Amino acid sequence: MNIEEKMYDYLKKTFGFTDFKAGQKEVIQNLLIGHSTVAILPTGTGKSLCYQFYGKYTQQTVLIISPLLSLMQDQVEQLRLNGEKRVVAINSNLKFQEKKHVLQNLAHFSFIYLAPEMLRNEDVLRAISSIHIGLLVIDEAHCISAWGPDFRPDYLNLGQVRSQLNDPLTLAVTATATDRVLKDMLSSLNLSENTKVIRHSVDRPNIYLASQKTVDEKDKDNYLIDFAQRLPAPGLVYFSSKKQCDKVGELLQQKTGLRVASYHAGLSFSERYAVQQQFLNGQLDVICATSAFGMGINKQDIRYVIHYHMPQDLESYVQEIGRAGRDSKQSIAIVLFSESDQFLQRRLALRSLPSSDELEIYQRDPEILKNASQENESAELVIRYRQMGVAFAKMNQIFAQRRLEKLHAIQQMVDYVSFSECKRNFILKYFDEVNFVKHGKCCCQIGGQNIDIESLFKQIKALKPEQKQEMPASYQEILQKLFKVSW
Amino acid sequence: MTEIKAENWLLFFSAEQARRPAVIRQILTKRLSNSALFWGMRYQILDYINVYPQLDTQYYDYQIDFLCQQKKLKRNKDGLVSLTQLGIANKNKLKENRQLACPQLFSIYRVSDLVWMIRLLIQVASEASWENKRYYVAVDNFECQMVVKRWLKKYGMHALQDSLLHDLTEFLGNEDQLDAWIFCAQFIGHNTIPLTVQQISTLTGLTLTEIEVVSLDLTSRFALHIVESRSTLTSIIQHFRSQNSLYEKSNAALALVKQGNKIIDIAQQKRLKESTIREHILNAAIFNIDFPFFLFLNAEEENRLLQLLPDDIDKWQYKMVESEQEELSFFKYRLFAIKRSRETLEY
Repeated sequence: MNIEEKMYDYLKKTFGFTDFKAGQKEVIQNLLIGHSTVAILPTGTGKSLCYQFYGKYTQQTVLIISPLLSLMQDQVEQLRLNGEKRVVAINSNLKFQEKKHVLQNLAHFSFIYLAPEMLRNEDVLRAISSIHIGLLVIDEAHCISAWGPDFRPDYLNLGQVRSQLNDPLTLAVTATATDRVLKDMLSSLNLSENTKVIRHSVDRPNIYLASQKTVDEKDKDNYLIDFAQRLPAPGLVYFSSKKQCDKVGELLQQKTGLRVASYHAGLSFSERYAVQQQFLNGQLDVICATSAFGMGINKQDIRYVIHYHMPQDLESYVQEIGRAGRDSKQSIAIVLFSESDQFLQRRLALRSLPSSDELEIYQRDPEILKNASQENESAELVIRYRQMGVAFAKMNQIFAQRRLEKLHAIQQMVDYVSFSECKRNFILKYFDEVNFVKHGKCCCQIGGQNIDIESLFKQIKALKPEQKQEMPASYQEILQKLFKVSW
Repeated sequence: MTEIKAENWLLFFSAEQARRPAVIRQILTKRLSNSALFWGMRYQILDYINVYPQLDTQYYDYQIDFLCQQKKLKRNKDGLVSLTQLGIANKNKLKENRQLACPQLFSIYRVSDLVWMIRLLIQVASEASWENKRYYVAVDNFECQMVVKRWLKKYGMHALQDSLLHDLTEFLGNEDQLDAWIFCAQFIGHNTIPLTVQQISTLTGLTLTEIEVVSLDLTSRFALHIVESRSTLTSIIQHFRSQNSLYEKSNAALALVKQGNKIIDIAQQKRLKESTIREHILNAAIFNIDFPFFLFLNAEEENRLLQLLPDDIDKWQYKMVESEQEELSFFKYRLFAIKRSRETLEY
């Protein structure tokens, strides 16, 4: 068997798949010949399989730096589900004793997920330096770039950490990156010239792109109700606020009779699991969610993604709409936007960054900074930078740049929703792609033209609302089912 | 627990006794100074210690102000708060809702962790019952995962399945059918997808808070049932006993006093201030129904305090006896207030 045959054989035996998804094979092949790799692959292409395959195939330890707490725990459980027991997540959810226990037994684990802020902890650094890392994975690698919309200060030190670990083979993965962000990723991680970049287009031809201008929230609600009634389910509706997500979710259920649930970080891990499973099992028609939803969820037949609030940047927009139509069937992505959306997004974006005045106060009185950090995100950010040894003056510069970047990203989104030509080409241009598409009737909405749902979804009919959900079985029946017993 | 609606705080107020909202907050979140404990005893809410550890202080204060604006509560010039007629009517309505049957369990066990522990046990036992070894563990609490692993190593999977099913059926057999269903509908297991609190609320017509109260109530009492029935699962429950250092320190100080030690000697021995030891003893007087008050207060002192202070203990202020502070220290004054409260309040 040659190496490629061996890879297919191993894929079938270990993961139960007969074929790799686009990009996976190239990434793994590059890693197997020892090339560090940057993989820019759209959501849903199975980026995590790349490093899971490599770790299992070569039987080496994989260290994954992952910035999203909820995603991390989900990936740990997914790996366990696939039979991998030697997996652990080191993050702020671990209590002191638990962390100590994990660090003492680190060599026992094959897949170690690490939150970036943990790299500030000397015990953690010492422990990971003491074991052989076969592959270092930087998940959501675009966070390393100050040019990107999701810049994470803890990612700044990754280059240094990488050299402390003797420059292990590295895989940086992300769903989207402009050329400028990619350049930043390569230089910040000190990746050599040998590094391979595997990049696939962000374009998803089966997702029709549209936006709907609205006057106010009531108008938005009406449009949303109308779309949900006319579009084939299942669908996803994204919100920028948890409160709004619950409120509109309830309204949608009342007005349409569809089975709707909300999903956001305010729910416990188990509740999120419940909603995900119900959705995957076809027990829900619509999920109203914040950006917390979607990571690790692989539902093939999501027909629409509606953004109730205009997102803050095209990067997250493209990632979120990428959850639709993974079965390659016709799907649609709609942004509902009103004039006030951009102000909301500006407010949200700027709230997370301290102003010059605030920085001055924090510098003068560390006690105020300490107290403020318990309550607000921006003061917490200052504490993090202080811990990383960044001076206040430098911070001021960084935050000024971040503010500009965020405002620029929001402006790009505004330009996108009001773009009078092909929206798909707008996105491709933004991500520095060289191939543009020829606009067609299933491509996107031009200007303010009506969205012709009926002709787009000729083959797929909208759902008739289910009858009101009945009270399920008695508690005795639940127990009988759980424990496989009969009384 | 999800956010408590302002209305629910009415349950902790009275029309006859003006109360300090801060005391109620301190009791619910287990921020226990002796003053909070004393007033908690006066308000008869000590059973509610630690029932709501994650309570957002600022939001709670805002909610109390909101209830005052709605004229369900009224605030007097000293900042004390009592129920209005409207508040009484609303409180009576709230009393018909589901309540915690044993709130005192919240100061003994870490109930919110027990919720996850029990759900994890159910999932593990359920998957094993269906002979499935590969599943997505839907409880992300590392501590719970370690506890169950350790237990399984000692007792094995069959023991978990047998004990859990036995204990659950025995316990739920005595519960209200709907409550038992609410409790079980949130269990995750083999091919069993749980319902969310919101969905249960929609199906039953109960409020979100009521659903959460039922879950916490049944969890805490199921834990107690496991311990009292000496189930093999007891060690799992005991792992989640709260560290109650305040209670332990207070009883340790009391034990030393009972052995004849003086406060000054205990302070030296423990390398603590005398005032700290006095506070521990005052706490012990609140915690222990058979506290030996005679060791600190003689009949003459008690009589003198009775003469100087009004009948209503809630109106007592130390400045009323300050003229005799050489003989009647704050310690004696507070101790006497605790003793009189014990004699006059119903327990």
